[in-house]
Amino acid sequence: MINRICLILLIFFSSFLIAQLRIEITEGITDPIRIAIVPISWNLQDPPREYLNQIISSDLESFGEFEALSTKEMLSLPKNEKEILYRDWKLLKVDYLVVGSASQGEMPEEVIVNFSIVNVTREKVIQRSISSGSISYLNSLAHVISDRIYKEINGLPGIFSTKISYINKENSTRGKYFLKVADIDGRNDSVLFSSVEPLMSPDWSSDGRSLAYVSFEEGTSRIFIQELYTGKRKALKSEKGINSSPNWSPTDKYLSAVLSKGDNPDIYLYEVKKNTWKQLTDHIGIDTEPDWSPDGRKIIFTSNRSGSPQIYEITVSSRKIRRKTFEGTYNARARYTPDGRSFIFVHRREGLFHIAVQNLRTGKLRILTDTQLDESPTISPNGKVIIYATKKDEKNILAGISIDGKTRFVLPTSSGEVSGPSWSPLLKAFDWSPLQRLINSRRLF
Amino acid sequence: MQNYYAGLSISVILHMGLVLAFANFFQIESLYSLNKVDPMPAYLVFERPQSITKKNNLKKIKKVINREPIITSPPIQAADTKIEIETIEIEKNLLMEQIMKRESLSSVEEISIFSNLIRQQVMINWKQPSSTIKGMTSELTIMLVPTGEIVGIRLTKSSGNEAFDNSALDAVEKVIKFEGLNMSRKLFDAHFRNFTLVFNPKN
Repeated sequence: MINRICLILLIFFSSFLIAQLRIEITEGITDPIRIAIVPISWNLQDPPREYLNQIISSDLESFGEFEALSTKEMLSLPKNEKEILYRDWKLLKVDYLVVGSASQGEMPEEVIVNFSIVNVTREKVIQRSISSGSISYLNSLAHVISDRIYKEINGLPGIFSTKISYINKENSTRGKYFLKVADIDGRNDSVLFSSVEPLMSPDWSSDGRSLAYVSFEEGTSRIFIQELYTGKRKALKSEKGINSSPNWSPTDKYLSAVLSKGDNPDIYLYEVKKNTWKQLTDHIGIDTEPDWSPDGRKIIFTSNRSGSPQIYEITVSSRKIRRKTFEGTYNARARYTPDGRSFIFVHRREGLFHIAVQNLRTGKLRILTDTQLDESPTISPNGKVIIYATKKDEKNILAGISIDGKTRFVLPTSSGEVSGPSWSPLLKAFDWSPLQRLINSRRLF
Repeated sequence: MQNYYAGLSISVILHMGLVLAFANFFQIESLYSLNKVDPMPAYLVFERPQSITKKNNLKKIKKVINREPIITSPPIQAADTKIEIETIEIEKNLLMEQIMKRESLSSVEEISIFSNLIRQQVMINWKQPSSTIKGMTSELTIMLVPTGEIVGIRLTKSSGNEAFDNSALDAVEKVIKFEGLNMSRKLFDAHFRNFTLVFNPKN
């Protein structure tokens, strides 16, 4: 009855409030956005053989959100905004167009790329940018440009100039272990540290300038922090027994890690400046694999306190612990998504290990991978892609999947076994470039 | 004194009901929708107050609500875009057929059908950016001429995400001309010359 009265009242009042027909659109199509990267015109005496537009196109196509037109399909190749014939591009059903030119910079190695992102549908330039970099490292420059395009069109930060660190083991009985960093497509890898003893679980600091990892170089496990640009290494105060799973807090003030102090493993907090450890969890069972929430208030970890490995969340200030997973008998290695609303983890179902994602509030679980023996997932800083270690033809490799489960890929890594991938935060291009001062990118409007 | 309290409490209850109704506590929108399809394709808000508040018109609306859904469209979630587009095309053809046999249709039904036609033609052109989050809403005011051509698009409420707003504007811009809007001039002037499109992703 109340419903009915209210219905009448609502109709009566809404007629005053809104006097226009409203049509609601709740979904669109899942077509990728069509983009055309016109070859960059080089105003150089000796133009490079690498094609910037191809690197940018393949970057943007990586995760299925964009579809790039090949140069062959293009009806015209405009060198600047004025030469664009919109009718041609509309005919090709192109949504966005990028045109640009490159010229010599002030320094001998420097190239400057001026480019415009154009909305074809509305015939409007939506961004003009200038990016510069070294001609010997065109890849890095292309990734920076891809990030700009991705951000402008998709509204999310691009991840093409972020990095992946992982452990690579040589394929022989006494094979060496390498701590490596590579582009997210697996290319341009470089070795940061190598050892004949095992290396494990690298983790990026939140400012992107240091890595923490476990090394057995002294015979027992010990956690090290290594600065990326100086190569300076620092060993954390070690305790008897296990020292493992380092993970940086969002402010880089603390590390959470697992210590056993000769007894059963628990989560401890390490204060970087004071070089001291503080115990966080205390339970007879095993507590391991901690990860800080993006707001720094909570830590998610794996514990077998209920009899089987499950995911738990602890509030750092109050030490209140909540169990998060209830499906299945094996759930481990949880990592928060960057928005802090969900976590990704390893979930066993019917004897196979999969990567899954679960919403923290609703508890809804979704399995993403259909391979087996998937482990140690790491998520991109924009929350759209997961890279994980898996087995293919009896070999440990790195594979990736988009968070919607639609796009899959395998990283072409060097020979040997790869494990323990860790995704860097968003890096400023000049932070990482080998010729640091050269790479620069700014928006003109 | 007793009478005073009785009157006051009735007044409080009625006002509470009113406030809750505005806060959508009773979820009347679903009652109010003409299509009992999930996800809800379109809902209507009428322009002429007097035509609704009259008793006999209210009955008419209720009759429509109780009827079988006019269009039974399956929720489109398939990853395969080709199938999606095909489904939308089939739906569109169904609607066109209904318009052909429209002598029996009431004006409410007509508005619903034309709204759905518009909705589908926008849907087919809408590519959501991947930064889309459930709950984002952009509102666009669209101006049409009787042939169905779009003569004006205005963003009247931003979602706060520029990429999302742009995708909505692009979707409408790509339509250029709405097809199949062969309606009476009176109906067009009353509802379709200016209307609001609400982009409100459900997943």
